[in-house]
Amino acid sequence: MVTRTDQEAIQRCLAGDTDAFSTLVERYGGRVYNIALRITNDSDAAADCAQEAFIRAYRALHQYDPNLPFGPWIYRIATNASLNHVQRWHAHESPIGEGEFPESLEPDEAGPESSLLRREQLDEVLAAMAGLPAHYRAALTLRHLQQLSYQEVADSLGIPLGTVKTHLHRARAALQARLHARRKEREA
Amino acid sequence: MTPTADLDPSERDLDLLLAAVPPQALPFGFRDRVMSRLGDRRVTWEWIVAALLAVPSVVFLTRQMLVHGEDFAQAITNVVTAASSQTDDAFFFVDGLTIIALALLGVASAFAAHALLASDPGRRSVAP
Repeated sequence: MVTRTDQEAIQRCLAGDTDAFSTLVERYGGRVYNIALRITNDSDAAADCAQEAFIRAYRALHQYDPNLPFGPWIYRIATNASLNHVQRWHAHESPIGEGEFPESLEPDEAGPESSLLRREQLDEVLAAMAGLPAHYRAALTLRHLQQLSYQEVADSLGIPLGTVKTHLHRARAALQARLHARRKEREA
Repeated sequence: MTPTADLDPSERDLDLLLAAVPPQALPFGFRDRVMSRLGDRRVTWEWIVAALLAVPSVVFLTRQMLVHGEDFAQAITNVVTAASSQTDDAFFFVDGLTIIALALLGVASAFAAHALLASDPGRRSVAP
C-alpha cells in the first residue's frame, strides 16, 4: 500500500476514492479502539463504537478542517460515540481490566516478580478506573493513557481547557480515593 | 513541550502508571469491517437509484403489454417472418415512451450490476 499523509488520504477520499480511507483506519484504528475500550469498559462495545466513529468521520469528512490534525478530530468523534453508548446502555456489566492484558505485554527488565507486581498494580488501577463516571474515564484515557496534551484533550472532548483541567483533577482524586479504598479492603 | 511537562509532580506517579497500561490489539478484521460498511453505503445508494429507475419502467412496460400486447405480438411476428425471408412486410410500431422505459430499465440494470459486483466479498482486499 502507498503511504500517504493524513491530508493526502482525506483529499483522495473527498475526490471519491473510498479505499484511501483505509490508510486512516489503519493509522488511527488502534488508538481509537483503545479510547473506546477504556470509556465503555466492554471490548465488543468498543469495537462497535470505534467502527461507528470511522463511519461518522467518513460521512463528515467535508466538514473537516484540513489545517487541523486529523487525530484529535477522530478522537473527539470516538469519545462522543463511546460516551453516547455508555449513556444509552450503562455499559458497566462486564468491566475489563482485571486480568485482561494482551499476551504481548513485555516482561519487566527487573525480573518476573517485579513484572507480576507491576501487572497487579495496573490491574488494580484499571479496575478502579472502570468504576469512575464515563466522562472522567474519557479525560483520564486521553490525557494519561493516550498521552495527549491538555489542549488536545480539550479539543477531543470539545470542552474548554479549564474544564478539562477541573475534570482531570477530580478524576485523579476520585481514582486515588478508589485505589486507597481497594487497598484498605484488601488489607482488612 | 512533552505531554507530561504540564503535570504537577504529585500527578507524575499516576501518569507513569497509566501510561504503562499496554494498548489492546485491534479486533481482527477491524479495517475490513469499516471499509465494507462504507462500501455497503455506496452499494445501498446504487440499489436505490436502480430501483427508482426500474420500478416505474417495469410498471409502464407491463401496462403496455397488457393494453397493447396483441400489437407487440404482431410486431414480433412481422419481424421474425421478415427475418426468415418469407415476406418483405416487416411493419411494426413502438411508441417513444416504450423506448424510454426500455432505456431506463437498461440504465437501472447497469446500476444494479455494479452494486452487485461492488458487494461481492471476493473483490474486497484482505487485511495484511
